[in-house]
Amino acid sequence: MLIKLLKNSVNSFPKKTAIVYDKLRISYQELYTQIQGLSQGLKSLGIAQGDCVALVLPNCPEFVTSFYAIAQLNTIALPLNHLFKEEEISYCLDDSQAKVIITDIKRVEICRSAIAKLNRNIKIIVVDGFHPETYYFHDLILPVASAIDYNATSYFTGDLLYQYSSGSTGRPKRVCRTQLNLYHEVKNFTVTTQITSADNFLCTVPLYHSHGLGNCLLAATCNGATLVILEQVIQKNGTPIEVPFVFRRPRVLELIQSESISILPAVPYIFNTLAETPTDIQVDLSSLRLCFSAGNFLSQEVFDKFLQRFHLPVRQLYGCTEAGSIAINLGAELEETYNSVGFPMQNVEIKIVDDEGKEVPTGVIGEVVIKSQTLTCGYSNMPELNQQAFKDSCFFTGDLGKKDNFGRLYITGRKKLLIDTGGRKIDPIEIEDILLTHPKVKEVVVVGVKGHHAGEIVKAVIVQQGRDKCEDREILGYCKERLAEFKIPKIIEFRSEIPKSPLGKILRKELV
Amino acid sequence: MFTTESVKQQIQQLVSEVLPDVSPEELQDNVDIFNLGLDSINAMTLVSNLQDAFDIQLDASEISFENFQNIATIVDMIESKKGL
Repeated sequence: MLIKLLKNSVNSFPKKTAIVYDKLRISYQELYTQIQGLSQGLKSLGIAQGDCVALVLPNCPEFVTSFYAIAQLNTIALPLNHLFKEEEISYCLDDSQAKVIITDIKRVEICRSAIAKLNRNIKIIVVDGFHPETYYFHDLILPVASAIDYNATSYFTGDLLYQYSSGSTGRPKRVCRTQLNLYHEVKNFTVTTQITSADNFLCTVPLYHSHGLGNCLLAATCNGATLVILEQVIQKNGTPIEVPFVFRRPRVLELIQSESISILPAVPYIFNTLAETPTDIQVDLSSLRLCFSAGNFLSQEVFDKFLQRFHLPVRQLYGCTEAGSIAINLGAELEETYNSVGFPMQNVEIKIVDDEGKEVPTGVIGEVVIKSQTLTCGYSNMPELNQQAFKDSCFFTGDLGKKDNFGRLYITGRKKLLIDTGGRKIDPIEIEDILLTHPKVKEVVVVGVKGHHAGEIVKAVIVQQGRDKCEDREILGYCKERLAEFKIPKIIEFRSEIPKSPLGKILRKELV
Repeated sequence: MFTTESVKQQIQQLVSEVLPDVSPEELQDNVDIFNLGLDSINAMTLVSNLQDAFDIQLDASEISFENFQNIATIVDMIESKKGL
């Protein structure tokens, strides 16, 4: 179903650039030929409908090719955070029963160790080089006749995507979405924001996340637009390296100008960093027609700073892994309503309800509930949670919000606690669970401390077990082996006890 | 009075402040600081702390991956900025 949208792009604009990645430019026809070839290659490995293929990749063109090749085969893509460590990858591979991993040279050994823990045969495909006992991505792009079968009248509407969403129950929850869900997501987003083939998207956010996948990859390629992917930094020795966004800023500003970027989806942290560009350079960002922020609340400070520096408003988009993009503020009176996520996207219904599930009056805060054809049918293997979160084909988001007189939505908080470190969400419970397995940790509470630059810093407050002195380094070393870098606490504090209310509720505010 | 050695020590100190599990001694000249956990949030802090400590204003193009790769490249950048 989703693949039909891509075919339309290929059919209408075969020679147009679909993807830009550093010096590489891939046309729609070339992209489609690669997708067809790779889907044949995956088939030759025995991958068939319903099988799961994990992607452990940074943003790169191969991510796009893989995603559509998987869709073409009616199989399921599992995009994982490429910063995950062995244990996190292992958990997801096991839970999703993935049969193949597509990764790069940098991560191939981590993937191999993650597989070794599972005692299962999982094949590895490497996108950027040859490695023993793996398949080379480009060798798997088999020659096929690239003609599109336009006569196909029936399209697969079943499962296409697994994503893990941070939850309040420790381990992340697996969300499954179908080709039909994503088809509607693209359609709703396109009509709402009036995307056309004339648009150029700049992707600075991870493609494994629903923001990057829905609002960059799918929104661009399903509409015949151009997707410019911010390339990785390659060190002198040829290996890619993660670099903080502030050091990519000159490149991002250059790309916006040289590629005439019209759509910039990002997160508050990125807009903040761009807005803080020293004023010694003149930047012409007049090609941008839509900058929008998702992933976390955009503060007035960042909104004002960006408006002042570039004379462009940053609009807020609201979405979730369970349903993709839900609402966006496209209003003209943005300076007064910058803090609203706007109106529901086309074909999406949003209600604000109280604890009994009854709709509350305008202006009253309640839980945000959504109804949309983009919505997952539930979390895999979590029947109890599904009963609470999914009722009458609605999703109870766990977010708190209110509507104004015009029906604009404002997100005011979260029923559940998550830490946001510059766009990446962390479930404190997940880190607490890991730390509790350390022999010297008796009690632990993980909180987010507000940082200076629009993000939170992970802090762990620990009550020690036994008399042997426990050092910060022991704790950090322990975390490093088990958690992705961004989840590792930056501040460790030892206390003799955790402050609690008379009812035993942890007083998190006293720990910040 | 700025000398290369004192500039270097000060930079090692500032970098180790934003990387809590790394000691100044571990920050040898050519150790890649991106691999030591310099992330988006602490990188911004490092940039502003360097500007304050050395009383300089870095240009947009100077806040780059190349200049912030390791202690040696940061020292070079600060020295050329200060005209040392």
